[in-house]
Amino acid sequence: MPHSPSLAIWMGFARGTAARPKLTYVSEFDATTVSAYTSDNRKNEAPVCQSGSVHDPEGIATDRFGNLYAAVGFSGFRGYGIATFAPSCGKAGPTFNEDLGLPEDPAVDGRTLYLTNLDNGSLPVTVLVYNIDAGSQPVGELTDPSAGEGLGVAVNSHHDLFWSTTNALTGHGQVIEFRKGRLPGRVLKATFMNSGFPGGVLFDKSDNLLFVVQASAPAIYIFAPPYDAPPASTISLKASAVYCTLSVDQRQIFCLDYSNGSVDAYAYPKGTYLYSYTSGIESSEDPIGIAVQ
Amino acid sequence: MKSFARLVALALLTGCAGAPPQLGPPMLLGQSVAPAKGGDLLYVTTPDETWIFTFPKGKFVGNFGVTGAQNPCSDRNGNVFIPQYGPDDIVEIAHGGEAPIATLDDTGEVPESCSSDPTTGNLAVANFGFASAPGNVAIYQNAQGTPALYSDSAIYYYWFCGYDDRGNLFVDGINHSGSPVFAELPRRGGTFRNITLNERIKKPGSVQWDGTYITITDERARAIDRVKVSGSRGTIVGTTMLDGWRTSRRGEQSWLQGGTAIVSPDAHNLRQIGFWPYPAGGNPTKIITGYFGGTFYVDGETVSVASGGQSWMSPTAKAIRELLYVSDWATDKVFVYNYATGSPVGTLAGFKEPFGQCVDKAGDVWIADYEGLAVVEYAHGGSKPMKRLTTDGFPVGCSIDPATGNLAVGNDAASGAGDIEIWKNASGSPADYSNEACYRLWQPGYDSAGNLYAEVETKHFARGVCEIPAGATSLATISTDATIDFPGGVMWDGKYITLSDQQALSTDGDITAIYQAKRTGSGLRIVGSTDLYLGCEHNYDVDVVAPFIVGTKNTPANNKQGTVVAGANVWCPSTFEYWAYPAGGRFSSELTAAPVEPYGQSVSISE
Repeated sequence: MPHSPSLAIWMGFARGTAARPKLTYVSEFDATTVSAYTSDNRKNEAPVCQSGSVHDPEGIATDRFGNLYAAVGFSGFRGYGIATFAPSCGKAGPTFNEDLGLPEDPAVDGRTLYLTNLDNGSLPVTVLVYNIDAGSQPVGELTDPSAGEGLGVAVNSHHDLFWSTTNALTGHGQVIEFRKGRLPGRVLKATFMNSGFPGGVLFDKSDNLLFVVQASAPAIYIFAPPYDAPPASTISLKASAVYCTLSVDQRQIFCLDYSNGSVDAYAYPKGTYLYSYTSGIESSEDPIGIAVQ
Repeated sequence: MKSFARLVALALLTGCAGAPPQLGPPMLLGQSVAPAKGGDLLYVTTPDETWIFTFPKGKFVGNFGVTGAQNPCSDRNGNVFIPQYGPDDIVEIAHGGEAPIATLDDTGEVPESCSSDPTTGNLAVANFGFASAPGNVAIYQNAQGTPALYSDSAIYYYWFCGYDDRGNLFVDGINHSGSPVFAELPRRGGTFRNITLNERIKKPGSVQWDGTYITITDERARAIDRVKVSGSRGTIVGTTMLDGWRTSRRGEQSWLQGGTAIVSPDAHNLRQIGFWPYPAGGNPTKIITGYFGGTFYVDGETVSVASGGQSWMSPTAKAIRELLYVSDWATDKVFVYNYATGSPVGTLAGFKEPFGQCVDKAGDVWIADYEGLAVVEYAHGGSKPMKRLTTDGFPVGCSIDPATGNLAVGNDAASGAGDIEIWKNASGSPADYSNEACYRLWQPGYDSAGNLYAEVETKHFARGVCEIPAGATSLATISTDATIDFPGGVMWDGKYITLSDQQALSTDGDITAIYQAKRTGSGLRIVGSTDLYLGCEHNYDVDVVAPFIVGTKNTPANNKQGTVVAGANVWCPSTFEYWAYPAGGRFSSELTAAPVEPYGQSVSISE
């Protein structure tokens, strides 16, 4: 069974309030660790530490304490789920099981943990809901008939969950909203894409919804609340990424360029390209997940 | 796809005092139930199901599967259109049906909502748009074929559209900044005209004609605004507040039915439909709940008016000089068109197998209601009957005496010989005329002298002609040199009385022939003929029931031979043709939006 240490021990560790270094985590599907970089890594320095081991990591997320959540396969063919690690490449925490399909991307909202699967073998795909304090099994499940493949999840300041998926019928991207993380979902029609493939979603401090789209002209579409108007702005990416993350001060946005094996930094919200770093990142390792603490 | 697997016993659940009755499914009995076709129906869409209820009672009828359903609409014939995102199409469902009878392609778009033009039958579809590309409005002529696309540079996302009674299309949506936009695509205009409202709509919702005003639902204000439009300005002249409507503001549709009721999704848990009084507003009077599944939400609804339910007529119809009326057995309706353009302008309902027709000097139209056992009079362009005269048999057709204004009706009998009934001045009680030699009768016709003729069949199927001469009191046979194989009806063409034969032989097979005849001392002598060729397929039989000869005046007043024959080949469903007269030959043109099963027609000319 997956490793599952005492919740009390782990959570006690993770709730520390001491100042933490600003780090950017990067996961690569074919790597066995999640690498952490100094957040403003203009000098292309090597990772400062690594969390692991992990098996087939996909999307990653951090909570407000800096704990790391990685959608993974458990080593030794012991299933799939979420592996957790204490801040700053700390020790492993509890795991959360995903028995339905391929875990793709987690998001944390207080004591609630969400995990979208990419494909559970049958439509529609799901978002599993966990209570971090209630063990390793999901306590709920969200879905929508229009969802094809689940790519990303994010929660805004109102605790509404947003799920980026392909449309089950068109194959193009869309975002589905679950008010307060509850059914039923509602497709945000303003996010309909007519080409490309969806990536992840994230929010800035103003609750703007950022929707990453992988396409011949990769971009981040930015929608202002209540997300029913056309994109307020668009950031053109120099190369495709599945996931992006905002720096802690939200003055930069980092996207993991899987084609070139680099973290590309852009000014936020202007979208001006700033720099890239590649140290320790290999495109052949399928870089995919990115998160900051 | 379909799953009428639920037979649901309904319970009327009343909550606390003042709460609306709630209709829900307390139990499932696992039996199939087919939709009722006889009454008005409410269609409610969730993304993967369409739910049918009776309207206005709200009794569950059935449900069937759809794919990516958005906001539906219905047309004047009760057909329901369901836009589907994913398949990128609009499926058309007949009233009471569950299988599509047609599918309109909308590839590459996001069909969001629709509206049917009451004057033409055109279908407008609001295509929402994409994050990377704005939407548009697609208009399918006669709800068929490839659409014409219209876009307004001020609108990025298109939400709802609605036609008014004159065929002007109104749309709402939001611009690039997310601000509401309201615009009109005029009936004869090819470009949008943006309309500035005197008050701001916070969250634009449904657009629909309420019979007097175009209305816009404001989802954030939970209200329906009535808008008077003048040029590029719109004035909100009234507002209906929907108390208790907990909308999610995500583009749920509201629907006005008959200008008297509101059907609107209630987003309290996104699985309810509420009925509000309109235009009074206030609290809902009824809520349908519990049918719409656990993971899905209600997107939209429409009311499909049953066949035989309601008549309608464009306000412009009266001003159109020539109107074509076509009886349709398939729908039990009479469809009315602008004769010059072929555009639909109205529908007359309430018939049971409408059959032959005739017009009087003033242009009033008389329609034989075969199973309804009556003849019904409508004013030129009118939507309500002026008079209904009960017949003693099954009426097949009629004619107006040009000299007296008397109305003659030929009737089939349930048993025994048919008869002709004549109403003096088309009112009062009729005089009956029958003769065993005139056992079965087709549509009769007066000549200019007031002699009445009818093609007939004896009890033993010999065909001939019977006559009531002007001033006579009996129906009798009259000799003719015409050979009639299968009668089609008699009519005055402005110069001659005409007999028609649906089964005249030619080298191309059976055709319909119209024989021009003169009254002589010995009977009816044929002086000419018109052959009607070509139906839906070459060399196919051409059987036209009661071909109508169109002149420059209404039949009883017409003293100049007509130039066009209008009629339908009964072998070719959904077609209606025009032939040159008296030349005949191949049909010269067709009616684009023809009824399915035409069995009688007339052209009324306003005087």
